[in-house]
Amino acid sequence: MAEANFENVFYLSPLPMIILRGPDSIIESVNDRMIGLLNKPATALRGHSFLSIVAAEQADSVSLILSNMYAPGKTAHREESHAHDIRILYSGSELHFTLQPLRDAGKVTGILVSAGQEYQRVKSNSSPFRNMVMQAPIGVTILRGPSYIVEMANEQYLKIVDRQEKQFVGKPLFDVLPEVRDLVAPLLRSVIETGEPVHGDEFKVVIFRQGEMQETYFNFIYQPLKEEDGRISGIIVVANEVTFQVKAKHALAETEKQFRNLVMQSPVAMTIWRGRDFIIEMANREMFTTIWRKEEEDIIGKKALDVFPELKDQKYPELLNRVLHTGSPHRENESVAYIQGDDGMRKFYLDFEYAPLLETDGIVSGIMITVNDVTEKVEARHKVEDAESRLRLATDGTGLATWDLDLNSRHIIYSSHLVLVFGQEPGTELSHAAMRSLIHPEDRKEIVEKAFEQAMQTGIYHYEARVVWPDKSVHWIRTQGKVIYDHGHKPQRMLGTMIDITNEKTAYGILQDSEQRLNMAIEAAELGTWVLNLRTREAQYSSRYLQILGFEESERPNHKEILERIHPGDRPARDMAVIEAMRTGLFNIEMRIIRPGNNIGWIKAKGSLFYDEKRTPERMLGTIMDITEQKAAFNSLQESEERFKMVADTAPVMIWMSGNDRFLDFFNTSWLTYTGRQIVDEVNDGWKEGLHPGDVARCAELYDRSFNNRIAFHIEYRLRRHDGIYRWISDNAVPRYTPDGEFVGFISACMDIDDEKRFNQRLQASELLFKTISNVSPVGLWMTNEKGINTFVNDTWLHWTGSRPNAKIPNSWVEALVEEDKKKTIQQFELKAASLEKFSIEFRFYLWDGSVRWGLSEGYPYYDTDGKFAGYAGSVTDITERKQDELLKNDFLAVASHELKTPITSIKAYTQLLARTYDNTNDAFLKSALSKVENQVNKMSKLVGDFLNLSKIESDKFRLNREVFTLNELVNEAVSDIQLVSPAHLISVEAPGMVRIEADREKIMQVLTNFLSNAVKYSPDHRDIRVIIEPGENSVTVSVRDKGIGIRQEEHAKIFQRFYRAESNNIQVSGFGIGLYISAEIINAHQGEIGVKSNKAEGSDFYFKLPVTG
Amino acid sequence: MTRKIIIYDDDMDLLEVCSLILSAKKFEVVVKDKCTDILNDIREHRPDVILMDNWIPDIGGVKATRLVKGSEFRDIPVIFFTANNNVAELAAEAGADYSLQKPFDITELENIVSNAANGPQKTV
Repeated sequence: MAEANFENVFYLSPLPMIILRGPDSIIESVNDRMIGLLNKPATALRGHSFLSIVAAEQADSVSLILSNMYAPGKTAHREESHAHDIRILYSGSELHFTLQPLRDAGKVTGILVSAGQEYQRVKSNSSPFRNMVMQAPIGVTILRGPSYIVEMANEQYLKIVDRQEKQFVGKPLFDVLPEVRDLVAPLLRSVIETGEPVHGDEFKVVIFRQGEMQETYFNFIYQPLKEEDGRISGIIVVANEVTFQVKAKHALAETEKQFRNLVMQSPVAMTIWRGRDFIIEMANREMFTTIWRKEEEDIIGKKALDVFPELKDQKYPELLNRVLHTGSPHRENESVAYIQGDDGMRKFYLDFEYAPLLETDGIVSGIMITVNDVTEKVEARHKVEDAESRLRLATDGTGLATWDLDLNSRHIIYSSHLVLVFGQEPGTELSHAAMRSLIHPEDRKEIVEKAFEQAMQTGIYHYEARVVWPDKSVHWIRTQGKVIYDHGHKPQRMLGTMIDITNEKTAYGILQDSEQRLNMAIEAAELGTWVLNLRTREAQYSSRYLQILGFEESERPNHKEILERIHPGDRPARDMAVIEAMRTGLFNIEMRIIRPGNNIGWIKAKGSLFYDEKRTPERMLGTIMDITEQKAAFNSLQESEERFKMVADTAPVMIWMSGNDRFLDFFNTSWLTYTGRQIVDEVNDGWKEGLHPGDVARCAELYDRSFNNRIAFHIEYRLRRHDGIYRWISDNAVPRYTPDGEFVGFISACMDIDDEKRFNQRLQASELLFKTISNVSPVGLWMTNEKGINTFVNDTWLHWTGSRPNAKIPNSWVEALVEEDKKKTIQQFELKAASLEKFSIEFRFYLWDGSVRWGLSEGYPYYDTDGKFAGYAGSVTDITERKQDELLKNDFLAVASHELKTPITSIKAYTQLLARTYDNTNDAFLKSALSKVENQVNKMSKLVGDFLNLSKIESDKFRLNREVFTLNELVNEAVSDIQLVSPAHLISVEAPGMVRIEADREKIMQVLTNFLSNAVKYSPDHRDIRVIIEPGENSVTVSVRDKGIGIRQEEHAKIFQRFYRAESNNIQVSGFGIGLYISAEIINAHQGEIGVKSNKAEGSDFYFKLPVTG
Repeated sequence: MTRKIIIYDDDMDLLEVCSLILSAKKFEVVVKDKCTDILNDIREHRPDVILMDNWIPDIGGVKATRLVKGSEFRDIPVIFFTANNNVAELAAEAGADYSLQKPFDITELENIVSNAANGPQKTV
């Protein structure tokens, strides 16, 4: 060691030390500790003989010892144990010194005197603060020197950073905790440089622990460690981990946001009303457009009954008030409601739910209203017999048995497979009552009858239970069913399925057991293990176990002999831990053992309870670990009382301690600042005055019980803060022991958790609300995370499809889709998710009974509190009825168009024949009349054709007949056709060269003709029309430009929709606007692009862009 | 030389106007409002061309055309005409030689019938 370093150690050492030089034992150096111990100024010591501090009657003997240490003859045999212990009387007390020779080239040149073991032991026994710091439930570490050597770290700190003491203490901090260097080094430097402490609040730091990088949060303080001369020699770090609380806070913000998103984006009408006046706080678009039919600004913030006075005469205000007063939700289906919208009074059939919004204090502050308009459905059902409800009985192929139970007569019809599920011979006749009797007696009442009662309430029947076969073997079944109601909503029948799931169940059980065994085996290598059979009370111990307890290899101790090894002082605590284990399933204790030869050791014992399939505890498996060395490590720590007192006082948590007389005798500064009281007010039973009167008895009772059993405890209570407000406190108390294992009372760290408690309550309420609403929602809901993995589907979707999402498969909610639609749906989703756009698609899916329904799914990206993309939230609406209507309509259009064309054919033929017959007549009127009739007939026949095209597009019969052709020729053809009928316009074609494309020639022609005839039609006063062909890199653009009436910017997107026409009040033009819609469908089918650039009164530029073949 | 054509359609007015147009083009026209006895009709009249509607009682134009094309009269050209938009598709399905979309210009009718009666057979 370099001289300077040695000097540093000497002066900073917590050991009092003196260096003597020369045969006269002159004091050469003396450190601060020794000055403090001897209570003399340095000047009175340095340069004086060591004998001057020794009492006169001891001077001779000490002098002899000192000179002996210099005597060369004695050096050889003192080589091995060169230290010399002496006791001297000083100021009325006995001091214990160790003398060590200092050698230079083998020759003794001086003596190092240090205050020895006994001095230390006295100090440590009277060091409650040091014990406190080591055992405190907050992390404490002390850093020394410019490279921040870890001088000590308590157990909690080591736990926080997940490091072993041996590898941590004595090393530079950033060598052993490199991952925090960037964040922490500047803070530590600032403490050293400024001498000011640094505080952190919910400070985020990433720590490598439990095998991974973990994001953690801390409240901490870095306190400079000042020497008496004002030098800063190190830093005390006190850190309190608050990761869980911070994460809970974030989660709350997240769920609230998700909830709001859900409401606003839900395709189901939703609104929130607040207070007894039912102020309308928010409502989604669906509510405004379909139910209320009023403008948002006329409604938000107003009293509901003022906006909808017509409700006063209906049953709704009374129902709302009831929900407000009772706090229980109200739900109704197909309820008749009359609502006055801006377009008049309308009658609705509504499925609705009033869900109370509860504050943390349990008061109902508002009502969440969900409304689903089922008017069409109800009206349709009134007209036709509901054939849907007759569910087809599924076939037996899959091992799935089906049944149909008449709820009035209890007569049951079932598929042949059902009796096999009950282990009966094929063809056996079973009544409903007989089936019930085959259910395992333990499950009959608890599971099956309960599920049946619930089905009568909810309409959904579901259970898993055991059945007993005639050979007494036990099998598991799963039953699902649905109640069918009559018009008066009385349950009539129940339809369902049943399946044997024994294999599934047993495989699961075996897996669970073996995994736990494996984990135990991994640890077992270093640990002693034990197994206790709780039925027979027989125990087995591993050889390592017996070794730890100090048994010889040949010994085979029984349970009782093992228990006798436990230190009598710890036996009550061990008994408590066993009782606790029977309740919680976990056994965990640290206790002392006495090995032969009165050798006291410490062990840490852990165990878990294992149950049989009836949930009865069957056996306990556990491990023990020898922790004597760790406990002993306390002894080797050499720290002063004052330093730990400072830590206790500056810690950002509140601390109290009690003595072995059970009275509380210490409260730190944080505690006293918090309560605004003096320490004399708090000690003994004074602290009870500061507690909320409702919590005192509970706290006192737990403390007494824990004190008697010497076990750690945790409790939450309300404590009066200095401002008189009671706030929730979390109190973590642990028993304290001296290094010898003697119990000396409790120490506890307390934290104000009032905010977190509130957060947690709100979080729970918010999550509950989210779940309830999504599950009562009449549409399916799903969510994915940012990777597209399904994280949530609601009960509605599960009930529809009878399937569950698989967390391992992206987009697993699509599993219920019809095979042909799956790929299309995933492709569409991935396409939209890549650019975070709204996702919308129609598909077919299987209902749980195997029937196929049409669904419309819409999803939106959602973002976390940091604004980062977090996934998609979406819905599935059942649009089967609408879809069937659409198909019917398309069939109708096809027939209608054919029927219309038939007479037109005759009219046209006759007209042309007449025109030909009178070709030579001089009657001008006759000629012009015939030509007008023919023009109108042509126009009509085109219209009818358009209709047919439309219906084809919509019924998905749209097919492209692709061929390769020259685009220029097609354009010229189209232009000359139009030029023929509109000779008044001048149509020019501009093209740089020939372009060949692969496309449906006839359909592209249709698009061009449509563009050109629009250009003619909408520019009656300007003659010039330009057609421009512009070849691009992989595409070609064709545009048709006119100088006509133009189109307003806001209409650009709409004109490609169905039945839209620009300037509907322009009397110069006529005709239906489906031409552009069809054009858009054609170009989209070619994976092309269609659009318009135009301004009002500046003419229009319609263009389409098509991919060009290689 | 006078050519002979049989027109199958259930619209009496259309049958009449087609007769007028094609008679003027020197065709001998036979009209039928159903195709029940199509092979007998052909045996009786020995037409040079057949004009066949799609929706005609009682077996429909597609089946009727197939009957012809599967018989000894397979060489007689058949023109398939209908108000359905997919006329070309239906004509191909039926095995007809020509197709004509209703409504049509009368010159189209004249041209296609003359073509079929005179020209070499070509497929649609």
